[in-house]
Amino acid sequence: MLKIENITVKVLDKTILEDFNLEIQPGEIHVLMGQNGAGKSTVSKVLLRDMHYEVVKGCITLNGKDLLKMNTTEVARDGLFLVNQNPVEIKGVSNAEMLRTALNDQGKKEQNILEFNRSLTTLCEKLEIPTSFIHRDINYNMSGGEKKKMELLHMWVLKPNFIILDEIDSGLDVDSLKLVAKSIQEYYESYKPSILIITHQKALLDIIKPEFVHVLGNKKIIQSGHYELALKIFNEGFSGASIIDKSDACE
Amino acid sequence: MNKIIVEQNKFYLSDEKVILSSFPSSFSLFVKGNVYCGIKDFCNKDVKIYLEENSHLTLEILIYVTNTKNAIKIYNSESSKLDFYYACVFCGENELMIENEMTTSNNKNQIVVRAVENDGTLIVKAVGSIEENTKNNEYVEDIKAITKNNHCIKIMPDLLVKTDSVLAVHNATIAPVDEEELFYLKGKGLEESNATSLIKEGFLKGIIENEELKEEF
Repeated sequence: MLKIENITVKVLDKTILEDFNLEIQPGEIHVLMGQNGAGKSTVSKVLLRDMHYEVVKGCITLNGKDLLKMNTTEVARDGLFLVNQNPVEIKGVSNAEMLRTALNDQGKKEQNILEFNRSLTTLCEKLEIPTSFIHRDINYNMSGGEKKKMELLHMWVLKPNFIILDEIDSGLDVDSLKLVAKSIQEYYESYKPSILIITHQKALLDIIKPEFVHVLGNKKIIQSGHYELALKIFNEGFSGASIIDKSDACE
Repeated sequence: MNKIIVEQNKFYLSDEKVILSSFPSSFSLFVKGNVYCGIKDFCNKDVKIYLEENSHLTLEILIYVTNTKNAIKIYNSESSKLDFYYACVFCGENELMIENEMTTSNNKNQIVVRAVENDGTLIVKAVGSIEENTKNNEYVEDIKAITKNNHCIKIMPDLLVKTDSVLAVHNATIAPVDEEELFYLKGKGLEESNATSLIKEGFLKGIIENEELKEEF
């Protein structure tokens, strides 16, 4: 379970979130919406303990542990997994190499290389990624869609129990979006993780139906509801749905 | 069939792919045709590379150096090409001197150096001279280092261009391990030390194509 209580977050002395609260129970799917620059991605960076984001007030617990006393590695090992909007490219480090190191570092039983490669090959086929990508440098020279699919491949291997999808739908064509969304849905049905989706698009939520929808504005959650709230925003926009004033947005 | 002819510290390479591991401290490489040369051992060497007309040499060096001074001089004949990749982990006091004198035209040389500090210092001096009355030459120096401390490496580029008909580029970067890359790997559950090692190793191996060199490193 994730519990964020009254946190205030600063980056370089600028307050991005203030008195922000959010609670996500195991197996729940939540959506975080908000205008550009509202601070949605800040939430994901704080949770993964990016030290550029300073939590000056409040507390966060993940599975009963004080998240603010954990570092990025510990949070990831505790099962939190972030799919970035724009995953970084790392030249010279292959996906297979990184995943094997990650599994070893997480203390998971070392797999036979052949078995490991076979499982990666199956995942590649499922995600419609060339199998050569397993041994290619992480995200290097890959399209936006390929990067997102590789992130999902990492997810299937590392088996997290809390997934943050930060605009995973950006830069995906219609077919890729469907494939990505179906893969996440399949993972959800297999492992029942908690999921926090950050998105501006309806298409993703047509496949992965969220139970809870939150709107971020004025540095905190200003409205929460169910799927209907998201539909209202998709139809009328934040201003049209009388949820948020443009002056609330902060860059 | 490939063959290397060795005569009194002179290596003659012609249209071949070769991995070399044992050299005298001072030697010359004569290159003809299309040659790939990987080098495993390159410590305290003084080498002169002569590229014949229309030749193309891809030279890859992937090494650990400790208290080492390496010097490389490159001479191009007309329309020759050099792709030189030098990747090293250094400790102790080290120097790398690369001199390229272009007195002919239509040459394309690329000098790529990647260095990772393991407690030590490194001075890289790269001198590219493109002489008068030459045309259509391309000369690129791309030197990057990952350090713990920015003072432990000095990169001294020296481009001496005496003609207008040339494309000469120099790029030098000295920085610690990239924070974004580190955060990404830690976000997958890697220990900081393992993530750092992977990034450093990838930084070096990223410029090397030859699998044998990479595996033995």
